[in-house]
Amino acid sequence: MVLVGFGLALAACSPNPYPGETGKVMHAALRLLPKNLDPPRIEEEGSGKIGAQVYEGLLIYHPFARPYKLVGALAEGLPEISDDRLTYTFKLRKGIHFVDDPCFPEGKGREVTAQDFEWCFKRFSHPRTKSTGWWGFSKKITGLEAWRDARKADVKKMFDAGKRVDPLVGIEQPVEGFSAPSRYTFVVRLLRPYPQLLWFLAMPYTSVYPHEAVKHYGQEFRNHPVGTGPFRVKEFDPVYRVVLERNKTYREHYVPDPANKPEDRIPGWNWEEDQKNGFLANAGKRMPILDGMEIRFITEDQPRWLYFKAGYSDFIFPPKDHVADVVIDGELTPELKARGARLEPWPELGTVYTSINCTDPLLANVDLRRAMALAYDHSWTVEHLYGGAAVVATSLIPPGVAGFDGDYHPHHRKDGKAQLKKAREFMKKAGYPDGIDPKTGKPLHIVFQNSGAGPTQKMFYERLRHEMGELGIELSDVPNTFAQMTEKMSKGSFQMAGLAWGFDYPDAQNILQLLYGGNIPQPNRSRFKNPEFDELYQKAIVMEDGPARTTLYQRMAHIVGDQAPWITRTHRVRNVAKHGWLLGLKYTETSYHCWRYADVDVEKRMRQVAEWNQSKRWPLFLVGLLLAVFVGGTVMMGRRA
Amino acid sequence: MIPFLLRRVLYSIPVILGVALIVLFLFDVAGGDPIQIKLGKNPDPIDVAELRVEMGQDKPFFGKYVDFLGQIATVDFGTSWFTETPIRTIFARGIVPTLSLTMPAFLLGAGIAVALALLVAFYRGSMLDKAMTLLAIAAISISSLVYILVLQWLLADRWKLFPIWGYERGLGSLTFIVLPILIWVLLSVGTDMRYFRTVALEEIGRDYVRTARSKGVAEGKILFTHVLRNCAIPIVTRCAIIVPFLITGSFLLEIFFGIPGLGTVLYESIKSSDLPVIKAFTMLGTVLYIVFNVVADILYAALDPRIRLS
Amino acid sequence: MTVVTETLATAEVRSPWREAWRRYRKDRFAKLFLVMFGVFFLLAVTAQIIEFVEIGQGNDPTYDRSLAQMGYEVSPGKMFEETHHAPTLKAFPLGILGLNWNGKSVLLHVFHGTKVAFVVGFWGSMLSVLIGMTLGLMAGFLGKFADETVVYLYSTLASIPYLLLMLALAFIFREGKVAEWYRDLWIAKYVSLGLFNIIMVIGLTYWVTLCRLVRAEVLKVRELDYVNAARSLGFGNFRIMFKHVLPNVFHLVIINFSLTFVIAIKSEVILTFLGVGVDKEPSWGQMISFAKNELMRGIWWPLAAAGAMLFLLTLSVNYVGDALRDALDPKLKD
Repeated sequence: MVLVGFGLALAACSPNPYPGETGKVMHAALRLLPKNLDPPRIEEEGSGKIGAQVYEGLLIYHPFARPYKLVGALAEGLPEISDDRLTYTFKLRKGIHFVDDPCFPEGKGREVTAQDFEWCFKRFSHPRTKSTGWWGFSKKITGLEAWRDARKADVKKMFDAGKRVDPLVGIEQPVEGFSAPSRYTFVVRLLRPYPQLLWFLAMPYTSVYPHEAVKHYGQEFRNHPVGTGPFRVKEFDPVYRVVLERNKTYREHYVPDPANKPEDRIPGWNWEEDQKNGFLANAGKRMPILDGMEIRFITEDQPRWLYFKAGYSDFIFPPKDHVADVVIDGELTPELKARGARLEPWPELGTVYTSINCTDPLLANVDLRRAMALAYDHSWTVEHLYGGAAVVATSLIPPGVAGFDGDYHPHHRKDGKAQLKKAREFMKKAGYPDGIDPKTGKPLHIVFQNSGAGPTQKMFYERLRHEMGELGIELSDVPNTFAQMTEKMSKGSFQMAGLAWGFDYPDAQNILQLLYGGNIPQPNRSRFKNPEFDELYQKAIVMEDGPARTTLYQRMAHIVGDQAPWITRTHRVRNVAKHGWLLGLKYTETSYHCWRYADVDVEKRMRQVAEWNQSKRWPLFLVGLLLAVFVGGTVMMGRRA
Repeated sequence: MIPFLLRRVLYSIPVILGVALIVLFLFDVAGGDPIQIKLGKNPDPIDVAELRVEMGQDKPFFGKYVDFLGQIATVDFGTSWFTETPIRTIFARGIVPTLSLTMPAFLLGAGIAVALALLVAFYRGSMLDKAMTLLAIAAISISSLVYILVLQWLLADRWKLFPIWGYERGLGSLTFIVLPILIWVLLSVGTDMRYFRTVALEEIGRDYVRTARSKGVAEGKILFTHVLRNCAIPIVTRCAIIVPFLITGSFLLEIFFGIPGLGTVLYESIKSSDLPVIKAFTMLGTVLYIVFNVVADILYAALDPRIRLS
Repeated sequence: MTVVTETLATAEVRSPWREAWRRYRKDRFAKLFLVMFGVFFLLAVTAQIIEFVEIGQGNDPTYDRSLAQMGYEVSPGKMFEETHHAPTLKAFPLGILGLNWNGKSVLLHVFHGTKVAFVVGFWGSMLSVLIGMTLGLMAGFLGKFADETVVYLYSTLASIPYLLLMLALAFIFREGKVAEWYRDLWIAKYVSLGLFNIIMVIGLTYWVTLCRLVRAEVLKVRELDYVNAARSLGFGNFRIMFKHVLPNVFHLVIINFSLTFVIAIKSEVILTFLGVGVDKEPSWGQMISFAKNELMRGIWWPLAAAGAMLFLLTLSVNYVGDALRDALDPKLKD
């Protein structure tokens, strides 16, 4: 009976994991679980990718232009900036509505006004919101610190009075820096020039949402996003999936169509190239193009890749550290290629580096750090660790960001090879000839904090141990989870650590801040302090983008190269693998908004997926046969007995 | 009966206190600093200090322990540190998917194991018995991770008999849970079969079976009426002890096959040292363990009139 | 005459252990698997000796050398053709099980993995058996306060979900003070932190079953006449416990040892998969967990090799353990 039932269940199985789906729905699979969809708390990749489809802010990255460019989203365009560079005036688009949601009277989304931005920015800055992006406004907006301190006092008062703390206490109080002089005008006033503000206003932190939703959903707002984006959340299960459907009241907005509309051709964008590469497949279409998206959270590598292979997810981004596992010499596996999937590289704005604790008694020795930096063989890393999908870092600033200097090579020749002779000289200079500590007569011992125990990390550590061995230094490693790593870094209980930084926005300030002396211990976890660097940093951060600032950035990068608080290794070239039916996606992770410009050829997908996933029936017959033999044999034995 | 229950309840109090102490100690020592993770990559030191107070992480160990006991007493563990979802919501959401995998798997596995055990007990000493015993040992000698990796790859990817990953609420879950159930059964049936075989053999060796046999009662009838009835006691009590594990689920199966259940929750919370979830989970496990041990004792007494609860 | 001698001889050898061995020998499979276990044991010992020698000489371990370094020519040219090479006879003998993600011999890795499995299995079970046996003896024999403490201890431990307990312990021993303390010991050079970690986890988690069994058995044994006799002779508790009571419950210890051995080598796989297990040296668990990125690309040989070794060793220990139980505890056999 049981066996028969099981057989029936088996026969009823269809391998398609999207039963009963209709319409044009894009399928994606995420590697990490999203933690929080409340805009001020959107920090990590998972939430960012979902939030970017649901929310919009004043500005948005142009979907195709590289180097990255900002355009207006809910603002009509870039703001008007006063001559003293302290006042930014945004003109909002008229007639933008929030998505329909039960939090509004009669469930109809109301119009977005400048007051909404004022309210959202205040909520973002409110101490109870605990935004992970507070650094973006901190010490930069007129009157905001005082306002925040006053709110902290409010919170404390409520807390001391034994009352339940209202997370929005005092939000109605005005901030001088944020004002809405008219329904469609929003003004930001700054304490000092802050050119990075515009980039920050394109991040998910500064998206707009209605105060009605925050009040209506309370704690649960993080699971019920209400925004102005092209999609709205239909179903959200934080450990399983999110289902998005089209926002029927989305603003009238079209995918840029430079071929037919000259006004869409923005200077510096090589659109002919993008057209040739098929990124403009959806040009001129009104958004939202898709009926929805279904994003599943598949944390394990094997099922996530099998999903892509079977066509159940339309595209997949190989995890940063497993590139060599899935990409062979820059290509997909033959089976995937035969299915029409293609691999598309996109240079990541980021730097992989080894952070050295400059306050460590041993590693405070700058010559020792220089020697170690010279012993690194970056070309090996590029070839073997990333399968060619990376470039050797000449400094901490990657290509595509102002300040990048392709000719600068402090530690190595242009090919990224190690320079052992020079390195050994530095060892002598440092007082440790051949890696021997003259005090003890034993080789130096350094502990390397590795960011995991996966193949890539192991492989890199093995290589590093070999390279340090060339200098006579003994290296051992400790593999860490993310939590352990953060803790050690913030406490400063490490010597060397393998890290990577992804840019929040394409401005070198974003990575240089990690070495600014005023930022010790957070975010300057290397605890690097250099007077010249700090002086240049203070000068540079108030400057507008331009040759003068770029020169300062380069100088700072050279200081880092020379002092070696970091050993900058590579800039990765990330990949995205896409199926043939996914159209017009120019992938990047600098801004997750790119997903919304994609389209899916559903008919092609249905045809191909059905063709690829026909169940094999013979194993079932085989199982049936084996069962029959077993049962028959048993019965026969029973007869004989 | 009532004094028995009362005594067990009283006895469970020091156990719960001990469990709370051990778990808090372990995670207080071992876990990463949750505040760093929570505040992102550029935290403000003042915020860090404030959050520490708010999360009760500024207190000494004893203070934390007292807080924990308070949470146990009120059955309110607050909200998860990372998803900030109330823990009750997390459990309410996860319990159905977990049980929809583990309950059928457990029933099917136990059913097959009992049937096979009786079969081999019937043919004890024969080739069939030896082959089945060897097969059972072989089946449990394979690592669960190998089962999962290979069967997912072979049955779901190569032969496309099952979905690779996924879950639907309601009846739609049926197609998704078959493969994980199959793996569960493969993992559990060997152990269970061997245990039940021992139980059955012990029963077959008893006097009443010999008497029945000498009276000329058919062997099959002896097995399925007398022996099975007497075997029921150890079988049922063993099953009662397994029940708590059904609720905590199988996290490997859940994360590999996309069942959004409690196993996934546990796995994620340990990975990120999400203490409130871990606390709630431990207490749920402990209480269920204690309750079902009592249930097993009661069942034991109810099924076997010779035993009285005292 | 001869007849008499024979009878005498048989009478002489009827010690329970000999008797058990006689029963054990009757099972052909049991003998076969015992031999298999022996082969694994020899492999493990060899791998261990090689490792010690290499550590002593300060050389890099052999398994870490790529085939190219050892003079094999697999397929010169691109790195990614050299790594993940399928099993081939061209690189006999080290390449017959193929190359792994790092261009290293899978054969050498499974060979070294045998050592890891035995270290983890043997010392893990040893620790757990020692704890379980001692506490069980004490609880059963001394009774009163000792009994209550031990029973409380194990019922508390048993009611914590075991996965949680295992992972929490694994995190503790890998991080913080314990790890720092261990790293400075001389033994850390020979037994890596990851191994020590798993041994401690197994030892501290899996002693409960044995403790319970031993305690129950001791409760029965201690009322027997000969124990009373020993007591009346004025022997101390300690002496009676270990000299007179222990031999009577020792079959439980042996059977449990084999069970824990299996649990330990299987836990190595899970703990390594979760990133808290062996990381400094190749192990079967590591090869299996890396397979999650390999299998879908058709790279089956590391998984197959490690999986097969794990399967054969577990199978032999399981079967031998079963046969031992039947031989040592004849009441259970029909």
